[in-house]
Amino acid sequence: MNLVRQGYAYRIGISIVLLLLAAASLGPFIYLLVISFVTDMSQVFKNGIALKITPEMLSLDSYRLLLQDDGGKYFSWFMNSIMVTVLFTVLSISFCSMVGYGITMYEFKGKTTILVLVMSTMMIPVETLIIPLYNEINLFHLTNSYFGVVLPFAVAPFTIFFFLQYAQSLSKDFMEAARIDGCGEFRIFLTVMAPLMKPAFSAMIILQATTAWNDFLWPLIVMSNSEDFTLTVGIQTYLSPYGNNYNLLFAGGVVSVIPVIMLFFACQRLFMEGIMQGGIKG
Amino acid sequence: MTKRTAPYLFCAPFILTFAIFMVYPMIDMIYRSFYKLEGIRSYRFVGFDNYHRIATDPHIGNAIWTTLGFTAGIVAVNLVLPLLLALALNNKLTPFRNLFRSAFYIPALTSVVVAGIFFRLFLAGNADTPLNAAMRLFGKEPREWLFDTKMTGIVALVLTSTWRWLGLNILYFLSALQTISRELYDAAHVDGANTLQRFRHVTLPGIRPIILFVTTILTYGGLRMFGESYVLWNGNTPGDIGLTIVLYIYRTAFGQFDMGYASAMSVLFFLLLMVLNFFYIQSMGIGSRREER
Repeated sequence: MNLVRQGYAYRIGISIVLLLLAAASLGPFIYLLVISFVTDMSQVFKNGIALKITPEMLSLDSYRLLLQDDGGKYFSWFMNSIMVTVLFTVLSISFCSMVGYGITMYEFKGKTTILVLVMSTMMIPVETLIIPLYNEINLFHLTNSYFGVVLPFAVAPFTIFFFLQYAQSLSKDFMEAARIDGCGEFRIFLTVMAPLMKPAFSAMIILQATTAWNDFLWPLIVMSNSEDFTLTVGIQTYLSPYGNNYNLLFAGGVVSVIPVIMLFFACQRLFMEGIMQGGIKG
Repeated sequence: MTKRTAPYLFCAPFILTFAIFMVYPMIDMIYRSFYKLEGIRSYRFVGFDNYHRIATDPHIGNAIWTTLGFTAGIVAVNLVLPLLLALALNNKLTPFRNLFRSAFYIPALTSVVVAGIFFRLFLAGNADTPLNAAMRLFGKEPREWLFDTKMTGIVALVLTSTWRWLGLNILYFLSALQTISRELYDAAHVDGANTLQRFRHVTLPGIRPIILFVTTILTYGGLRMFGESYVLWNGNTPGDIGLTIVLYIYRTAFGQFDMGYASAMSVLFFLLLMVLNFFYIQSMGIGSRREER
């Protein structure tokens, strides 16, 4: 009886704590969503960060402005973000899965060296190399191009490491069986082994797509023409020392979140599974 | 492609990326750190001048303290809070576990820009912001949190980053908690261990590797802090409030085009991270991990 009551108290207590924290997690979204419909932003700030918003204050004006601003510039930023994200995700997932799989499934000369290189570069932040990388991208004439944004970081050691860990749970017997059937090594990877790594793929697709979509520093450096900006780089130009355009900022921020949220909810189950099972075991 | 050549072809993308986008830039960076950019394209050899400048630059000290303070804060908060939440979400008694898990993960999907937009407003000096209204309840004056002191600047960075980073760290801890076998807990229970003892002697040892992993990514995430700082202060950091190492390097290189000096700073920053990396790899013991499996 005592245990039952304890369980009851725990449930109520933990629910309250989790609800409060979930509110803190989701509150900023809800706030930005509501405020993005406010027509006259000066109203909002007079009222003190819009705690009192009335229906009369709301309209779709911010979104209309967003579509029309500067000949639909927001739309081209949106398309740039889509292109960069797709390109980055495709390159990153196909190459990193190959490398991770290759390191794990084969015994070969130099295996330890490559493993040590992957591990030791895994934690080196890209931030340390932005200056020489910028010079290099400049040298290759890749500034203001999608490839300039994507190429230097597509084959990231962290992603390789994730696939490498996941591949360790695969049995080499399947490979032997396929070899006896006369399958080539690359076809074994593509048709036999890769499907077995499906949870790892789905987890990494979401993680890489959100990373690429939200990446800020590198696109900020590579893209200097305003029509070539990605969303993150573009939206923050609405904040400027000469005054902030809050209408565009809030509406633009809300729209920029929609694609990743949609992707997340579409693949949520697979994503959680992939992270949980494949996961980093350290 | 034979069984012998296959692994090399599989690893080729990494080897190429490593050579082109890691080794070459590293050499280029070291080379440039001894030069000074003059005009648009001409570099002049200046020896160790850039390195001497670092020692006397007052901004560097500020940037290092802000970065270290932020790193300490982010590691402490994002180790303890996600672990506690993961424990709660791993407990079968907790209701709506999947729903909460998603709720905590959703901020991780947003960009630093969106997070920055919100937290700039949240931390603004207006007397009616939720934060300042709460402070008034305690009889405190409203503050311009982002521009108050270096300390509030660091707290602002920790708050903004935690909002986005929490969800993924919860997932890492959850995945580790689920690998601990039920039987260990049952055995501890039979031996009369209470909740705290079970946590200390079963849970903690079981998730030790993930604690190490999360600490490491948080440390690097802290040291490399750029985005939150850039967006919260919009690139202006009066009195160096919120100025991090990477932001300072970025501004020196792409604001003032002082490429040589920025390269010299990057070289030292890189060396620092390599040293940390060395300790991390030591602690993971790469050589021995193969045999374990």
